[in-house]
Amino acid sequence: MHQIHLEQFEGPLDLLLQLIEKNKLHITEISLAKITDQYLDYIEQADDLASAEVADFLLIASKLIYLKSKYLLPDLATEAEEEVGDLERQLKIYREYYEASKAINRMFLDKKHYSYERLNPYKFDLPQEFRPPKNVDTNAMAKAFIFVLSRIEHLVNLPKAVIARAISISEKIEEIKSLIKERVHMNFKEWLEKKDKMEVVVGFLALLELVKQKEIIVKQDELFGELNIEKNNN
Amino acid sequence: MKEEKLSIIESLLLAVGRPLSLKELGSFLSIDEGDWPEIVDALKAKHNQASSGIHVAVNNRQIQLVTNPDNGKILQQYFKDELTGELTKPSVETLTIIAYRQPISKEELEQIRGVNCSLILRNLLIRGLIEANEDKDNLATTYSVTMDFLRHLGIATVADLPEYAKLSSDENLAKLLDNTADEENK
Repeated sequence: MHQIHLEQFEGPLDLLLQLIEKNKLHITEISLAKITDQYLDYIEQADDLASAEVADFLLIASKLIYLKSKYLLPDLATEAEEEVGDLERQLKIYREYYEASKAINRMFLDKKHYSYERLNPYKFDLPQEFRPPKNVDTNAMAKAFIFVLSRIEHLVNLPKAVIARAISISEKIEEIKSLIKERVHMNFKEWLEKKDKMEVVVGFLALLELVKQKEIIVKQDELFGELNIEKNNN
Repeated sequence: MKEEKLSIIESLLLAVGRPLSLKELGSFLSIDEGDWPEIVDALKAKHNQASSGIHVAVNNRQIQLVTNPDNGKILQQYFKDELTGELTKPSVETLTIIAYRQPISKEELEQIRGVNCSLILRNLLIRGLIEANEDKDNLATTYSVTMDFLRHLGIATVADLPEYAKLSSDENLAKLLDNTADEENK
């Protein structure tokens, strides 16, 4: 496994693109499923990601894990399908602009081809004093303030769902790992009691990923029976 | 009538030097919104050719007189100008997307880059490579590249960028992606 420092990635899509290219793959859902482990390894190694970026990296991680589980369990279909299905497309669009940015950079660095503007633009020479614009009165100020308030409202009501969802898969992986360490074994139902549907789905995906990574062993005695989780000591 | 306005616009642009917004010019010279494409095309046709020392740059509903980009090297010698400005990889990437898709919202930009762009947008704003436009009707902020950026690249408008038609609209991009997918499946 190559060690790649994460600082050189400008975001999760950049990382994905480099992994795809390093593995000489085309951008398809199957390729994305194939590089899931490498992607997870890289984000695990990166401890110095800014929190805003962690969410972005984990959102893509959750989409990858979902894609992968889809290939492991073809019958698994959840409502997340539409949201995840666009990852391949998103990466292709990103690649188009990534390629275009190389040409832009060449143009930017080509200093022979450059336009000057007029060096001393005409300026109004105004005396330094308090000169409120003529159309400012108390009404205008009240309007301006209402405008400011309405902008804040727009910011306050930004959707938070994306971030919440992005964090939960990696949290679940960590949660299972630490619970298993503490308790040696536990069962799935008990663990997810009182959790909502999304958390159960995410928890199950996390479980599949840990089984794949050979961190845990899951036993089930009968169809639809209890899932018993144990640490893999080998 | 139009000839006369064309002449006034040219004189104003020369005298003022900095970019003038079409809105400001329009209200000052009573020019109808619908007449702008024709006026801008006429100005570009007159100036933007190899034999002219003065070119017209148009961006984000602003217009400015600039020097012929092909003379850049000689002007640099005259001004003994060291044009600094390497761009970091994320800067180029973000500028590229803004240039092709302007005016673009932060959300749309982040959707394409897949990563939070607040910091990078702030840096580009401070360096004067992009500008923020606020739409008062729906409170949305969009971003466009600046005239300074165009001058750096030596182009008169973003439409002069390589493969502009292809990368500037969702529809063309969708078609493009379908073609790439076909090639990959062969």
